[in-house]
Amino acid sequence: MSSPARKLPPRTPARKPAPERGKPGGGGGAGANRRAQRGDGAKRPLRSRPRPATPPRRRKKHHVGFAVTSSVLVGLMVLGIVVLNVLLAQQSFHLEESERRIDALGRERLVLVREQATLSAPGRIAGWASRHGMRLPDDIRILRAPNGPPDPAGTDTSRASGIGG
Amino acid sequence: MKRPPIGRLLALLVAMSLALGAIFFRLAILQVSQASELRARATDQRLQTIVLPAQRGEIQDRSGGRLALSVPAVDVYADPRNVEDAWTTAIRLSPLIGETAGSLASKLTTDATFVYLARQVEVEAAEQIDELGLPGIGFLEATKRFYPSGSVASQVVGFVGVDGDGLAGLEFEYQDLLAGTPGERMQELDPTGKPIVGGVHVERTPVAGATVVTTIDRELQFQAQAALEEAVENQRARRGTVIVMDPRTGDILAMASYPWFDPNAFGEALPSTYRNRAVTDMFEPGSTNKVITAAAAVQEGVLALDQRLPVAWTMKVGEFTIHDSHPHGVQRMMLGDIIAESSNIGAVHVANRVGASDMATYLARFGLGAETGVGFPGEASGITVPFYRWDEVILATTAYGQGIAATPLQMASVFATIANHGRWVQPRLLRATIDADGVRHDTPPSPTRRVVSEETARTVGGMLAFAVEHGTGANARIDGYQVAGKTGTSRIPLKDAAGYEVGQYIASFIGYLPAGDPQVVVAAILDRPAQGYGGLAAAPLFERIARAAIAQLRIEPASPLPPPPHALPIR
Repeated sequence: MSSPARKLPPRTPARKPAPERGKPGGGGGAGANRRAQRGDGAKRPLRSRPRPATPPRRRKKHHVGFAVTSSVLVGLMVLGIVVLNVLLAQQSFHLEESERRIDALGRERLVLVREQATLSAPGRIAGWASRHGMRLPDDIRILRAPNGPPDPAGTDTSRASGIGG
Repeated sequence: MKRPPIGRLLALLVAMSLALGAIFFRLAILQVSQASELRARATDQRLQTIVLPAQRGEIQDRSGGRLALSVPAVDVYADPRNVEDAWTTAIRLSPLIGETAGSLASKLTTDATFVYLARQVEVEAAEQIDELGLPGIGFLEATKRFYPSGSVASQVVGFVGVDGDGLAGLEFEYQDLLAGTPGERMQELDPTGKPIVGGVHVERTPVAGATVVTTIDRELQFQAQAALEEAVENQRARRGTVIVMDPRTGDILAMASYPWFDPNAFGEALPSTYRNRAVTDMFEPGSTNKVITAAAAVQEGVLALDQRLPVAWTMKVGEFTIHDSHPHGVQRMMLGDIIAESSNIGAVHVANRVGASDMATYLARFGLGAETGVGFPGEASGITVPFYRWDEVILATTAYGQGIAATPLQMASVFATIANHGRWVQPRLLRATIDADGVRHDTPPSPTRRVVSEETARTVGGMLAFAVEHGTGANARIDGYQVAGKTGTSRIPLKDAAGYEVGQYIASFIGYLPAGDPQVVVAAILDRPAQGYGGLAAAPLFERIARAAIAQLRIEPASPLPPPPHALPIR
């Protein structure tokens, strides 16, 4: 036989139903109930085996540490990139400066080579010597050291003597 | 329900299919068949290629003295569209560029976007132009060929044009070596013409040209030129040529023809002065050719050295009468006398004993009628008569050096052969090259060939020394040294007719020293000197250059050669 239906006492204390979204004072509907049930379920282990709750200050400290670390890391990365960029730019400036210097030195070398070639030209030297009263010798004299090699011609060439005759 | 218009839909489908097909077809053409061409055109729009010119190599003398080098210069150009006032610009540029204002103004008013105002301007002058801040005037980096010694060895070295290509002399001969390999810079540009950072940038570094080290001795060349200029002026000659050569190696130590030119301003000189006549021009060698006649006779043994030949002062050969330079009675001359007195009749007697065949052979062996291969552009080969046309007249005139033609270098090589103990050495102007990495590559020794025996060369050398000491070459004597050489006084053939110029001669003296250990050969040739004879006009020039060579090359005296048997009384 079936007994007449009766109202079962609620297992959990009656809670004020959450107001329906968008409707002030409205019921939460099935969704709201499910969220409410999940919320109850989640709290159940805490109740059955209570643990000391994490103090809110410490959790906040952890978040701050994370934020600081992240910021430092990001900052370091940005700094690193900037420094790398600066170094690269600096190197390229150095490279450019060096290339410019090489070009300048190359030009300077060519100018010096030209000057050296001009100054050592026999015509210039002869002109300079002539202006200073120098001239080529009239005769050729070969002086021999007393212990030097013998004169291949067998003549005393120190007096520029003739051999033909 | 109304049925859709199938016909229209089909028509639309076909139209769309055709349109799509056309698009795909065009796409296929662009992407497949024309892909490479379009890609190249796109690349051309973005990429700029700049040719990086290679530094032209230097030309040096045998000791490293610079005869030619490239120095920085600037090309000045104008974009006439951007020039504000052509005449004001021209007037301000005129003194710096060295061109008349009118000429510059006409360039500045041309309907063009680019016009050269001046090329190869000195850097200092270009800087002064830049400081004027004239709109529409631009500059391009360039190089300019510079010849620090001016006219010294100018005909040997040659010159280059404004585009840097050799136009004459060694600059032309060794153009490929000197020019190097140009480089190339390819870079990607943005629409404004600026290089794109990180874009394509390919650079091929230019390879500098090699340095050409010549056999020329710059100081000796200068002294030889100074002596030649003075001799030509004193003798009121039309021109002159000198060669100084090392007979052992074939190295040409000096080579010049007067008048010459300054390669730094070759445009202002007569083109005829560009010619290196020692190599490119021929002359009838005259009595200097008797050395070949004598060598052939000695080598072939057709005449004993102490054999006397009856030598009159004239002789009938065919329909011609030949004669000696001075009248004399019939003299009984030995070969040594014939060379010392430079007797034409005696030389004909000797040649008749040698015979036409052997004479022609010895001319060829000594290098007449063929280029020496010295390595110079435009070398002449000389003229010898083909053997099948030889007759008694050709044999007679060849004996004393008329009727044939040789270059001064060929004749210097003949004497170098005697000096080098009977071995012909190919003359050369290139001693070494130095590549862009500074590595020196010495030219291998010149090819040689035996022409006459050492004994023959020594015997002929003795005759040549005797000719200087007691014969026609007395003015070539140098105290303390035994000189061997031969005078030459040759007639000048008419240009456009048969026969010779009247009263005009080419005077020459070619010899070497010391006769016992030859180290230098000197050829001195004057064209139409006042004193027509080689012994009077050319021998003193030889003597002066030989003295300079002794001092410059530190040549010591050597044991003298013995005189040949001779019959005539010693002068």
